[in-house]
Amino acid sequence: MSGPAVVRPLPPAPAIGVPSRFDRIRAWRPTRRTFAVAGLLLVALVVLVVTAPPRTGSLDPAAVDPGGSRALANLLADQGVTVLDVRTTAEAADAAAGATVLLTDPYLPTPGMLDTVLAAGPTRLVLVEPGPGSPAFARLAAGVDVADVADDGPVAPGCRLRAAASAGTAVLPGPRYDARAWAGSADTCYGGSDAAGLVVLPATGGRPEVVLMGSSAPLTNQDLDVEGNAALAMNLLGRDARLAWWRPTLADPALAGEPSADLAGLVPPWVVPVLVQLLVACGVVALWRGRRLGPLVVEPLPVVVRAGETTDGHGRLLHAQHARAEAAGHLRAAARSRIGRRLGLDATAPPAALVAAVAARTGRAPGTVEALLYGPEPADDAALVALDHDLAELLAAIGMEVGGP
Amino acid sequence: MVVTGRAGLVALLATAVVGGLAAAGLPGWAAVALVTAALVLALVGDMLAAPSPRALAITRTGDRTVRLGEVATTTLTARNTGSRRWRGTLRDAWAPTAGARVRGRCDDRAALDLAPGDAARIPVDVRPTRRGNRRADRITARCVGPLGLAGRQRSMRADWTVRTLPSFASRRHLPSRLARLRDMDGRQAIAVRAQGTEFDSLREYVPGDDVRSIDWRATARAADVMVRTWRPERDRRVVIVLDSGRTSAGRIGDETRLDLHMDAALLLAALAGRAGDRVDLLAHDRRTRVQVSGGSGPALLPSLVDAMADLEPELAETDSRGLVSAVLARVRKRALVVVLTTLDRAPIEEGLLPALPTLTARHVVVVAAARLPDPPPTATDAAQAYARAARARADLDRTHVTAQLARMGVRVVDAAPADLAPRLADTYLDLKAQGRL
Repeated sequence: MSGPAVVRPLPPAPAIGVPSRFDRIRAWRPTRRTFAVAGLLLVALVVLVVTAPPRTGSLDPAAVDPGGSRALANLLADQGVTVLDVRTTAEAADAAAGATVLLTDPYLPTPGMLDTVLAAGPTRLVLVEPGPGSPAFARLAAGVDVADVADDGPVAPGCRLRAAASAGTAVLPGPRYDARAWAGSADTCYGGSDAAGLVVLPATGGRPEVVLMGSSAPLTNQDLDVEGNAALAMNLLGRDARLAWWRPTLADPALAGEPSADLAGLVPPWVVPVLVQLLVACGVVALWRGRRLGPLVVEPLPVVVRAGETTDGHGRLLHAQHARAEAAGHLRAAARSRIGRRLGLDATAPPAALVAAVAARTGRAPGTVEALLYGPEPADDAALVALDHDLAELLAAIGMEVGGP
Repeated sequence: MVVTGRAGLVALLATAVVGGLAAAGLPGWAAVALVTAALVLALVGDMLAAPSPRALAITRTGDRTVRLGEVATTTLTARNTGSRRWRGTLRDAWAPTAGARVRGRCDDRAALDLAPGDAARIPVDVRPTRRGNRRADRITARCVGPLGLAGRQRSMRADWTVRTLPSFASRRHLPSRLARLRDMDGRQAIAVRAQGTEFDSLREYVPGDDVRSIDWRATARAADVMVRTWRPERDRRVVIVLDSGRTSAGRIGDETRLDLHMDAALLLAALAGRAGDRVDLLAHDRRTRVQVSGGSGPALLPSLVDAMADLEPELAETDSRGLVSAVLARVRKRALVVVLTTLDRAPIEEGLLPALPTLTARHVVVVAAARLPDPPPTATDAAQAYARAARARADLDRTHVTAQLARMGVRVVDAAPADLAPRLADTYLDLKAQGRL
């Protein structure tokens, strides 16, 4: 407790004239530019809202972007097929009876949801790019495997399936299926039974005909018009009078009831108690940090004003208005006053006398001295800076300390 | 009740215990309840086991005055009057500008561990960063229980004031000015004898003395050549008037104008006191704030410094007529009146100038002011050029005011902040040498 006194340097006083952060914040005023920028942003926002982009979405029958399917949906509608855009399992089940069901995402619906739809009695179920990991694939195409992934080269049907044979060559980038397990019953097109781009599994007792489409290209606006893509898609989807275009969504109420959605079942039993106890610990830490060692000490401090505030303000005012005439007048008058006192001239001495005295002292031409001390207003700010410089030089030439009063 | 960081740590570790219990099969809520109850029990028990903060008896001794920029030492003595060991922390809170630190630490806290009956001395260094009375606020004692988990805390008043006096930075100019004063004193025959200088003595001529000061009559009587020596007049009144109105609040560099003027006033007063003059001090804005009258001798400077200690600028226009009448009421005989104010045009032309004639009629008046530091020699951009133009305007105004004051017979000292005190002292010495007082 009685160690040597530690003398610490006082914190440096803030430099005078350097605006603090607070000063800068306080000095901010909305300028004309600020308003212009704000107005521009507002107009841009309005334009964006008014010209809202058309609907987009992958394999959306109403979307017009390259990945959408509005072209195909319109073609089907022209052929008298009713296209029903369904999202939830319930809607799909309502629409499925006696219809073709197109499932754009075979990964999302759970087996339970698929059963609900299949129970409604669709005649054909088209799966777009299903894989062995998808519930629909496992449920309806057991034994089929993904053999390869093809690029976007045209490929010939090479099978007797009428829908493919009449469509001819198509472009089907995507997975190729190995359907040898179903040899005999299944139709495999576009690439042989061990790597087919299109597999049609026949309908049996409780299930409809299942079509595995190895590519979504024939459905999209972008690739609909390539080779026989359009014909293939129309043949596959337009057989029945109704087409249920099922785009599954995570917002499907049928998903909520699935047992795997329960988070509490996944966490170990000790996690929740630990979290609760951690909250208690946080409370204790908050108590520890929250209690001050005695109250704050308040102190009235004197006002601090810079003595040169009005002068600085005057300078900034002149600058803001670019009042070159006044500024030059002040600079010249001060220089004349100092020179006059230095050369022993009365304040009322005529300009000519002062000019003559300065010219005699410095050896400069009276004309240039007069232009400097009594000249016209500077043309621009640079000229004002130059004038200040020249006046300082003149004072130095007379032998006066620059910067003095 | 206070809890410590150790309690926080223990509570954190308790979560691991809860995790372990829950993993071992105890129901979650039971584990939480068990551990939390144990924790609360430990905290409350430790708090009850802690001694009372009131058991600590605290007294303070030490310095009551300090010059600005120097360190005052006060010592707290804490005695454990209880029957239990007292462990904890003591905080000696002061106002922020008092700059109080417990010696050896960078804050105002000290750790204590006192057996019953023991006492500890805690040195607290106070280094104020501004003038005036710096007060100690409260002393807070926090004691913790034997487990170091929780404790009790109490704040108590322990009034103490450290009066912070002006720094008198210009006293470094004093020796050279005193030397000049001695030169003027009777030890040599000064060349210029003005009216008002007083005959001091006769002494023998030494080479270098002014031949005009030879006293021929005395020379005739003596065997040697005698010269008369003179000394400057003594026992004059010097009235120093500080304008503590709004213009004195302006900050030049790191100090307010009032601080700069106080510094100059102190140098002048020290010099005048040594020269045998009597010094009055007056600080005035709307009313007289401070007055010290007729001080001389060694007690002068301490009384002035003490009077100035808690003088602060008043944010109101100075009542110059009141100021002049206060001076007139104070001194009847001819005196040197030094007014430390501003030379800004508006306050002088509207305030002091109309009131001055009554003062100059009876007294010798000096007006002194610190001016702004000089601007950069030349402008490098437009903003600087305009700033220099505004400054040129202000300088012209000041020149104008100075000329007006000079016409009234007032001496004006217009100096940069660092030069003000020595320039004012020189002006005083000039006046004294000329016998104008």
